[in-house]
Amino acid sequence: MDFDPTMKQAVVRRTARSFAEAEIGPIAAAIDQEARFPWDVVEKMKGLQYFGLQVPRQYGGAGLDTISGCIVIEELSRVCAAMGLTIAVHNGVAVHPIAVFGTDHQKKRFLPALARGGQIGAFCLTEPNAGSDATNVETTAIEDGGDLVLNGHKIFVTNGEVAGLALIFAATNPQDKKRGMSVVVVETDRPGFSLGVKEDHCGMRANPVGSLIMQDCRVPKDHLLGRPGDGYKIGLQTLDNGRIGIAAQAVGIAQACLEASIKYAKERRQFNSPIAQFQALQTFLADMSTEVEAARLLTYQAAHRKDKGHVYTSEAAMCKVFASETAMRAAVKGVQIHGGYGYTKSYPIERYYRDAKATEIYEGTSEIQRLVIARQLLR
Amino acid sequence: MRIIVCIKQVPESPAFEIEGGLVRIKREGVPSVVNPLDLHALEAGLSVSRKHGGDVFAVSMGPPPCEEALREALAMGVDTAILLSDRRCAGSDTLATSYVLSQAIREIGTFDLVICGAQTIDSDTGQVGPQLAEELGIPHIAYVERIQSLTDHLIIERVCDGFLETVAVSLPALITVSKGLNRPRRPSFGGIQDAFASKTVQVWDLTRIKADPRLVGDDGSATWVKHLDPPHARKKGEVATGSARELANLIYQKLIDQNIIEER
Amino acid sequence: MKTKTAKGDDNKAKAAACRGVWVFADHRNYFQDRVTLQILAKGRDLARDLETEVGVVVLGHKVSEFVMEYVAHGADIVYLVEDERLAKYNVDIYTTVVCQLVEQYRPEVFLVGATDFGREFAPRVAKRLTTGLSADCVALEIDPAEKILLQTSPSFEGSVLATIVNPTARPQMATVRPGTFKERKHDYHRKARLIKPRIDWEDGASRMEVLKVRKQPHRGVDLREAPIVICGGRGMGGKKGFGLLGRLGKLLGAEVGATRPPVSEGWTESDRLIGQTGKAIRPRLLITCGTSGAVQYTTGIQNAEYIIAINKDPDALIFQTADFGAVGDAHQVLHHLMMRLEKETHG
Repeated sequence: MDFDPTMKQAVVRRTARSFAEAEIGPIAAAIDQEARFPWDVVEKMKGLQYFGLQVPRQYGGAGLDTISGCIVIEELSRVCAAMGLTIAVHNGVAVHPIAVFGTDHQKKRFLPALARGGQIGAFCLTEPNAGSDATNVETTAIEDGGDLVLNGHKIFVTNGEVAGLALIFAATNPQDKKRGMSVVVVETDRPGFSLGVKEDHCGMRANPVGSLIMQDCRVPKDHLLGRPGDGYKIGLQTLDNGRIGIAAQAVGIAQACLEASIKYAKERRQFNSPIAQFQALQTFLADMSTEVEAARLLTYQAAHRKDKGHVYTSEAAMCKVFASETAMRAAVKGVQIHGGYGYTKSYPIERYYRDAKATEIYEGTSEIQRLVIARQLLR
Repeated sequence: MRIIVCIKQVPESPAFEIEGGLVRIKREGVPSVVNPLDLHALEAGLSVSRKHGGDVFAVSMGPPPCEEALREALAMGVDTAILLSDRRCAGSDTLATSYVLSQAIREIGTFDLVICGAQTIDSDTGQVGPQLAEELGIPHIAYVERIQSLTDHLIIERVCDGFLETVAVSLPALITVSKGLNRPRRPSFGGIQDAFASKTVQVWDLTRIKADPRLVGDDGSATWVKHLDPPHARKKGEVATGSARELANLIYQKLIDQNIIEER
Repeated sequence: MKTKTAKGDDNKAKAAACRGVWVFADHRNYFQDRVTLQILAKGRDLARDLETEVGVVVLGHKVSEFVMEYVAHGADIVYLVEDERLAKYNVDIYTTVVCQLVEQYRPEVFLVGATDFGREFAPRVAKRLTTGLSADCVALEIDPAEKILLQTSPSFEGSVLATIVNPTARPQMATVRPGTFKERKHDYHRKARLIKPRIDWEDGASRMEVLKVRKQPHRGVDLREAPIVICGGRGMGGKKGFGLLGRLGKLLGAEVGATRPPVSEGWTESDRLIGQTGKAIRPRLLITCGTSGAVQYTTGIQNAEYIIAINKDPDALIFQTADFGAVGDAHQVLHHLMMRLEKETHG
């Protein structure tokens, strides 16, 4: 059991951090305020294979292992959680299912454009009436001739507004809840596919979350991923994978909170001392640091298990729930440490606070994660 | 065309410990990076080879962890990476370092251009480049900001003491490069993956490069560091009061004392 | 290829026979650049401690006008090589000529100003002579016991000072940071010996040609590289205050920086920001005006060699960091300072 990062992972971290600090750092606050997706930075990221972190080399991806992928997401999120989210979701839940469940033909067809960022991916499961109750999807994908015709409405789609390729969870057999759901790959420029409302959300505002509407949108039958009815299985497995990326994102946010808090505590003077001298603050920082370490290690453990081919459902849920709640605690404590200034936009801590909250909700709420873990324990 | 880029791995930021009144450089736990100007040197080598064809070698002298710097060079796209690692090189000043690098380059064979960063962020001397050129018996030109043309000789532009110079130099030659020359490319993640998975870093010792041990390390160095000191601790200086004119005159005198202006 | 070792047994004997403290004359930017005169001044102290003389090495074409200046500022011997081939600074041919002089006259110390040229030329000379060289020295002394040069050279961008010695190889070489030493007052009555050595021009023809040389138009210097910086804080009051700093900057050849409040208020550009979220500077001189001295700012100026602070508030934190503090209104103090500077340059 080797807990040291490999030389490759050290280089990956340094490369990602350097890019994030130089290219995204200077604009992070502005793009959050303006809810603006930074296309010019995204163009640079495409060339460096941020959109194909784990896609095999033969399809134009970087072919990295999962821990390295986590490191990239962590470093992006430390500077700008919105960009960390874009990459985590694209790689974790849009690219991944195609790479795992796609036929050779589908992989050759879809992966290269995704890997080079020519198309940004989106994972579309949630609907107005289907959140944690994922099998309650009402979107349908009905066979007609050689096509599948999609009708429905997907909401809270991360990357929604900028996605070029969407993975739609739809009922191919509306009568059978559990076994009637399938995954269909849809290019977003197809006739019948349109963008709905763009959400005006609390944090990670530079990530364009929106809804997608399908009205008699036709795709060829061979856009079905896996077999009809595989949707539930693909969904669960994909979320297992995606949760590791979200955990990495949360670790990045928590790390940013910790660093900001240490910096502020050393600078801010009250009662003739830097506030870092006060025991109460030292306790906060010690706890924050311990939890960030633990969250990181849990995340890497899940990543490691996945790469080794072990079942990792429980570990993925554990790292997701722990890291996201760590990020939220770190952000809350972080704002408290900053005092009044922490409540203003003079310091980035309020942005981290708004960003952290979402990590406890998407890709399975903390409540769902606990159910997943309990289920594994009580088998 | 064969281009050889000499790079160095340096601590990311200075870290010292004071032990028994003596200052020592702390290496444990301090992250290392490729010397920033060496990234510009690598970029120069890669873009020259893209334009004129040929291969790029990255060479570095250092202990085994320096392999990381060479992997980064491979990730950026160099064709061959060589680490010169031998215990006997420890304690080398620039005289000895330039000798070791020159032996390695002789072992590589013929070359057209050697590129170095103008200076490192740790030793800051800027001496290895010129001394390496002298050892190899080739001309050198420092602080290159623009490569104008490259045929059987090299024409460059550089800034030297406030003068913009255009200089022609015969090949083979050595250049040291400044920040303004280019913007170093970032390695892609696929490049990093390949650098570790499918490419190799060759490790050469003194025997392999036929280096005379008397000319390396402590033995081969003409200088050595007697002791290290922190820069003068910032302590509170004198604080003067008075009329604006009096204060201005006091400041004027300080400017003279600090050799900023000449006494008249 | 020579296999000369730097620490050979015969080196000690050879070292004892070397005499003289030499200074390389870097005259290209004279009159503004006075590093040669500064080193000559220190050279006199070193020569006294070594009981020897100061020599100055002058290379160029039509440069005899400088000879008088160097003698007036402390040279005892002038080694003058005038030739058309030396009209433009050329590291190849200058190395050849200087090495011939050193081999002929065998100085024990050879100092070169750490100008850009000095820093590319001195290493080449040191290598050809197989001797040691320390870079950008900020102090030089003669060790009283061993009678060798103690060379203090900054490392890690000034975060640590290394004291370096070169026990046996000769000459002991160092490049010297401009502004480190104070030039002596000129004495045009001083006398010196003039030597015009013979040069073997065939030994190593130049492999480079300087095609064009032109003075660079003044463009904004990066604050991080600027040798003199003036920084304005909230106390400067507004854009007008920064205009004042700009005028002072022109007089002193200084770059103007700012702390966060002026940048936030738009009194100056964001690339002027000095401090934790801005640039870290290491000038020879920093004049900081109307800045309170908050730690976010002072972490960016720790490596300045000498700091002069002007602030109305006698308790301002900045006075803890400054080498010299003036309690007063920055506008008024600077106004008087500029008047004095203008009078002295044009008077």
